[in-house]
Formats: sequence, structure tokens, C-alpha cells
Amino acid sequence: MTRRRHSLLHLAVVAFGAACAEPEAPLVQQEEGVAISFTDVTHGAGLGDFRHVTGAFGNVWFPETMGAGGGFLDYDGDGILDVMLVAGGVLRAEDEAPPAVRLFRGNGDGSFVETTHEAGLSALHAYAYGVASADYDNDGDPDVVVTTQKENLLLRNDDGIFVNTARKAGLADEALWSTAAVFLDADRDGWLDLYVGQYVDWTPESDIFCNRIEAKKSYCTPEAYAGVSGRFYHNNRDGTFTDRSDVGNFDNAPGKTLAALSLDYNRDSWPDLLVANDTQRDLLFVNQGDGTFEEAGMRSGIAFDERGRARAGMGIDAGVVDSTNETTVFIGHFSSEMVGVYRHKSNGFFVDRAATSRIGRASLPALTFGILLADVDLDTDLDLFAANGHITEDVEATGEGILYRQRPQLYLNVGGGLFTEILPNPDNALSQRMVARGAAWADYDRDGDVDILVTENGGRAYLFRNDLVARNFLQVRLIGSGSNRDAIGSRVIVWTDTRRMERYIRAGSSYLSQSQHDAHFGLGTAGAVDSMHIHWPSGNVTKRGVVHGNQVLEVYEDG
Amino acid sequence: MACRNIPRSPPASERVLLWEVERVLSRNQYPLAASLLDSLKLSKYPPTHNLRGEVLSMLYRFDEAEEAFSQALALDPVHRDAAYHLGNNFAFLGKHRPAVVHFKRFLAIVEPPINRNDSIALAAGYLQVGRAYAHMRIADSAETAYRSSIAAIPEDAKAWAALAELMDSGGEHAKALAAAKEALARDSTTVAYRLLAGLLYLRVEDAASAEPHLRAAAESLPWSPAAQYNLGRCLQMLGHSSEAALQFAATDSLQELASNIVLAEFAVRRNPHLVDDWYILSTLYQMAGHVEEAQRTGLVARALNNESRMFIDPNR
Repeated sequence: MTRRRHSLLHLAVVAFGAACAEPEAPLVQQEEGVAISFTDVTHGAGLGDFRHVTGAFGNVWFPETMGAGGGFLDYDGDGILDVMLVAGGVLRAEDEAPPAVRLFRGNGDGSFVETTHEAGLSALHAYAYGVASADYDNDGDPDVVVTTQKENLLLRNDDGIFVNTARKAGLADEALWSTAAVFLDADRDGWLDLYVGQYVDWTPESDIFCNRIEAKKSYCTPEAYAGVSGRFYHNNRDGTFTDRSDVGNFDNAPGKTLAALSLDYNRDSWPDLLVANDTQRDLLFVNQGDGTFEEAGMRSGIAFDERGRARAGMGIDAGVVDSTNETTVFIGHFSSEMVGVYRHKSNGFFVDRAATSRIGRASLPALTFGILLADVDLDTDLDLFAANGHITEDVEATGEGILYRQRPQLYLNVGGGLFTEILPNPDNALSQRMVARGAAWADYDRDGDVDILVTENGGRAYLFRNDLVARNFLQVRLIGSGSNRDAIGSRVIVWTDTRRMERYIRAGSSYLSQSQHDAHFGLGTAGAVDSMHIHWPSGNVTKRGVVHGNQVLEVYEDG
Repeated sequence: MACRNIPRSPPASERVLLWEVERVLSRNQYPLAASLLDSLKLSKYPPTHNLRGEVLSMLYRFDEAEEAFSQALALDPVHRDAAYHLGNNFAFLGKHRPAVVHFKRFLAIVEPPINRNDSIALAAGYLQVGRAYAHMRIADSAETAYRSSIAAIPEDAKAWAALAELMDSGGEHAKALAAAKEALARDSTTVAYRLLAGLLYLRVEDAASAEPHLRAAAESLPWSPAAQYNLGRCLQMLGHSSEAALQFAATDSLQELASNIVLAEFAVRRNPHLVDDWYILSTLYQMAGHVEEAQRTGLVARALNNESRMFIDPNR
């Protein structure tokens, strides 16, 4: 159990401004008397030296625009979250390559110290994009898959030292441009399988000269290259995987994937898989109840926008955001395309509520990559955070208000399936414009509210500390036994006297990023939940009565 | 004032050249027309520059077209065609802010309307202003412009349809549907309005009412992903899964075609002098049912082809 650090001292920091706090002004908006505030603590937390490397050297190659993800994990098992940031890579041999990923161990006081070298990662080079973290070998510590331009990396965690076992595990047999990775226990055998999305068939040799202004090369749109289908790897329970992409239509599905996540939209307890593609139709792989999948994106209404057009899907998250108790999927898109807001209608059909939810029009100027749901104001419903940034540096020359560096957007859930965008004060952390890509949430400082990590293409990372005061939370950490150890695929449902809240435990979401595994609930003014149900992937159900708030509750599957 | 010095007609030498331009345009030889007009860059006659701009924009040479329309307006600040075309030129390039400026300039020239043609021009101008504002995400101004268009020509359906789309994007689906019905009431033959109505019926989850509209749209527009996909969604909602699957398969094929068109447009804009790229674009437009674009780009391709032959063998 951790302590809640809301204190008089914290209030004083807010009240007296910047004298002893981080330099950024905190207040975003007063909402029902609660100040929603984020502070950029990146430098003070020890992440300020990180820089993502695009490898650009003047050839204007496609990978340079993509950026990378990052996320949270507790790699050393000390109960304090650590940060992993994908560092990118280089595109020609003579350039000095950064480590594929950089690791920062949490010190427990809200700061981090880099342990890339100590964790065995400093000599590991690749042009890397995404991370997903889960305990695939059920040995009690988090492992990591890192997607890259060529061979993917499987970083097995051996007591805090990472060893790349991708080749031995059967994950590095194809040198493809991989992007999103998702761990899920497709057949519910207690061992996590892996889906890896692929982007396009690009190599330096196959690079195409695209331009918008004669003679000057610019970045191609994805249409210029053939898409590559994603791969599905079955966990053999011995540290290795078998490629079973031929079972379940993965082989024939469109590629150009930039985001994927697992979900159980139809509540049959079998994890399904949603894949967002860039200028190709989005995919919904429906679990057939035996660990195989059938692709149903079209008939579910999620494949295209309502003009029958494929959009540029970038980031993805899903959750129950309204009183229908149905899952809503959020997909970040290109500028001038609305964020997709697809709510399940209980019969396998999704309806796009982008405009209705009031997110749609507000999202049009933004090119949204990272996207995540979290209850940032702890008021009992999930809010939406979008990390934005364009790919074209000279996009502002059009004069149409589309910016290269864009500020992130926070949409507060106001109930009834409606959201309202919070416009930050100009001097607030969230008003910073950035070329954002990945986004992940976690309560890294263990004060009960949700903090946000954002990565930039060719730039720094941002750690936004949530400085919310005086609201209640409950954080539920699951440890599986009959299920996979991280309990990926579990549903946690809690009830207060007025609300039902639900969370789904997943590994890999947003844009190439990894959020905290725990189920995190804002309780508003309630000090406890009346009851809690946990539906484990094994089929077990744990039921609890009153659970007090303001704690991190560890729940073991075996009781 | 510049307008005091506007010649009422071009000098004789220019007139001869303009006749020649007219002749080659009647044979759809746009590149040749552009070459001829290029020699009139220093003309003092505004319609010459307006014509030059129109021909250049036909050839996707939008930067040069902008310069030509601007020159027409510099010589004659109340040249309404040039103002309208310049607005359209900017709109095509996605530069909606300057598009609004020039459409408004056009409206200021036309107002007050003194005959029906002026009213039609006003309606068209306000419609374009509305569309540009909609692109700029300034919904209130877009709505005002659309309503002004409707006021100028109340029996015209186009602004009602645009208003429906605007309201739909703002989440006001019931109002959007009402506007779409107004458009249909004025013009029941334009299948795009039936498609819009069908889509909006789906929005309000009335699949039964959507079905006849979407069937009509899908039948008339076999190349339209929106028509095929939404009919598929409608049939799926009505429980006709196998029929829906056919629509979805058609949508998938059309999507691939649409991707190829984007690439082909990219190629033509990158190098507007390559004959083969124009042929490819024309063929793809044809396959996608964009008849007007197919004809226009086909004409450009043929004209370029003729010119290249002339270049290879000047004695032909």
C-alpha cells in the first residue's frame, strides 16, 4: 500500500506559485472547484537529457517522421515505476547510434536515474519505434518487446538485466518495419501471446522521391509504399513463440499499422484485437473463442470513416466512458480528420460518435499520435488525452492554422458521452507545442493521480506531473496465477453508490507506448467503493465488498 | 484608379493571339493554349490574364494561375471572374483563408444583385465562402454563409446540403437530417443528396429510412466508397449480413482505387509535363467514375502527347 501525498505542503506550493516549484505555471482550469493542473517536471525528474534520434541526414527518408514511443514499467520490482524511452536510431552506418531504448530507474521520490548501461541495454542498437511490456515468461518480472525497422527485440528481464532473446524466441526471423506491439493471452492458456503490427515495405533502396514543390524532396504519404500485414505469435510456454499469422486472417489483412490494442468489446472474456492503420482500413480481429481470430472491421463499422474512406490511424485506446457500459474506441488521426470515437452498440456494431461526443471538431487541427484514456481529474470517468504533432515541418506555410509543433489536448469527460476540451493557460505545461508521438499514463509519483509521459520525434520527452488535490482514487494491481502473471486481459469493475466503473488490463496501446498496467479509478468524493469484481482471463472471478480508496490494492488471483 | 485605364478591348495583335487561343482551346489543347498565353504575360487587358489563369489551373499549374488571376485583379480590381477563380484556386490548394478573402471580394463586386444571374453568382459565392470557413473549422461563419446562399437562391439545394454536412460535423445530427431533407425537397434527382440523407438517417439510427436512399445512391454511384460502405453498414444494421458483405468487398476495392488516385494526382502535380502520368490519372478517374475529371485529364494527356510528337518531329 502506498501513501497519498496530498498535503498542506503541496497546497502551499500551488498557492505560492513558482518560488519553490517547477517553473511552469500549473493551473489549467477550475472545474467544479477542482484545479486540473499539470507541471512539466521532466528536467527535475532526471529525464531532461533524453533526446530521440531520427537519424535524418538530408535524404528525407520515410522513417524520420515516425518518432517512437515510451512507457512505464517496474523492471527491478521495487514497487516504484521506471521509465523506458525508445531512442530511435540512425539510418547510415557512419552515424553514431544511440541505444535502441534508454531506461530510467525510479528513485521513489519522483526522480529517475538512467540505468541503460546497468540494465544491459547500452550496446543494443536498432532503429526502434515501439515498446510493450509484460511478463511473457511468467517469472515475475516485466519483459519488453521493442519494435524496430528490422529485427524486433525481445528483452527478457533476468533480475534487472535485459537480454535480447528475440532470435532464440522466434520473433526476429523477419526483417520488417514493425510498429505497434501488443501482448494478449489469445487462447487464455495463462501465457501471453504477441501481436506485432507492421507498417510499409520501405528500405533505403526502395525509397521513392516524393515532392510537393518541384525538385524539393518531401516525405511521402504512406500510399507510396505497399503495406505489410501484422504478425501474430503464439507463446509456446518455454520462452519461445510460433508465428501463427496464417491462422485468423492476419496474413491477408491490410498493413500500414501504427497502433493496436487488445480489448474485450463483446464481453465474451476472449481478448479481441483492434488495429489502426495509416490510410488503410482499420481492423477488428474478433477472437473466435479458441485463440484464433476472424477479421470483422468492415461489418463492425469500424474499418472506414462514414465516407467510406480509410483514415490515417495513429494512436489508439479504448474504455468504458459512459453509462451505456459499452466499450468506446478512440483512434487518433491526421490533421483535418476527426479523432475516431467508436462506441460499441452491443450487437457487434460500432457507431462513430466523434462529432456527437464534441471531440470531433476540436480534434480537426491536430495530428494526433499518442492517445490515452485516464481519469485525470479523478471524478469517476475517463478523460481523453491526445499527443499531437505534425510530420511536415513546413505545414504552416499553408496558412491554414495547422502547426508543425502542436499542443497536446485534454478532453474532460462531462458525462452523457460528451467531452469538452480544456484550453490551458498560455504559461501552463500543457500549452507547450511539441512534435509529439507517444503518450503513456502512470502514477509515477504515487500521489494517487495519473501523470502523463509524452515523447517527441527528434526531441525530448515530457513528463507531466498531475498536481490535482483533494480527490479520491483506487489503484488495483493484479497478480495472476491461473492467468498470466500480469493479468493482461482482466476486467476490473467497481461500484460506488452512484457509479459503475470498468477498466481493462492491457499491454501496449496509444502510439507505440506502454502505460501502467494497474486499474486506476478516480472516486470523486467517495472514500471507498461499495464492491469490486475482477474477471480474470482464466475465467476466475474475484468479488470484494467495500474497498477503501486512496490505496494501491494488490489482488492475487489465488486469493 | 486602375479601372479608369482598363482597355475596353485588347490591341489588335493580342486579339489575333486570343483568337488562336480560342481555337486551340476548342480542340482542348490546353498546354498549347498556355504556351500562347504565356506570350501575353505583359498584356494590359484583364480578361487575358483571367483566361491565362483558367488554363493554367486546368493544367494544375496553380502557382502560375494565382499569379495570372492576381494580375487580372491588379489591372481591374472589380474583375469578378478573376476574384472568383482566384478564390477557387486557393481553395483547391487547401489555402482557405486567402480563398475567403477573394470570395468575399467577389461578393462585394456582385452585390447588390440586379438580375437573376447576379443572384446565382451570389449564391455560388456564399456557398464557397461557407465551404472555406467549414474547412477552417469556423462553423458559425460557415453557417451564416450557407444561409446567405440559401437566401440568394432559395430554391437551390446545394447550400442546404452543405449546411447539413456542417451540422453533422458539429454533432447536430437531427438538424443535419432536416437540412438534408430540405436539399432533397429541392432536388430529388441529385444522388449525392440521397446519399447524404441516407448517411444522416444512419446517424440517428434509423436504418429502415436510410435503406432506400442508400440503395439508390449505391446503384447510381457504384464507384463511390461512401455509397457502398454505408449501404453495407445499413444492411448490417438491418441484419442482412451476406448482402452487406458484398458492399464491404466493393468498398475495399474502391479504397484501393482511391489510394492509387492519390498517388497519380501526386505524380501529375510533381511533374505536369509527363504524358504517361496524365493518362494514368485519367484512367483511374474513369475507373472511379469521376467522369468530368477523367475527361479533363484525358484531354490534357492527349494534348501533351500531340505536343511531344510535334517536338520529336517538327515537320509533322
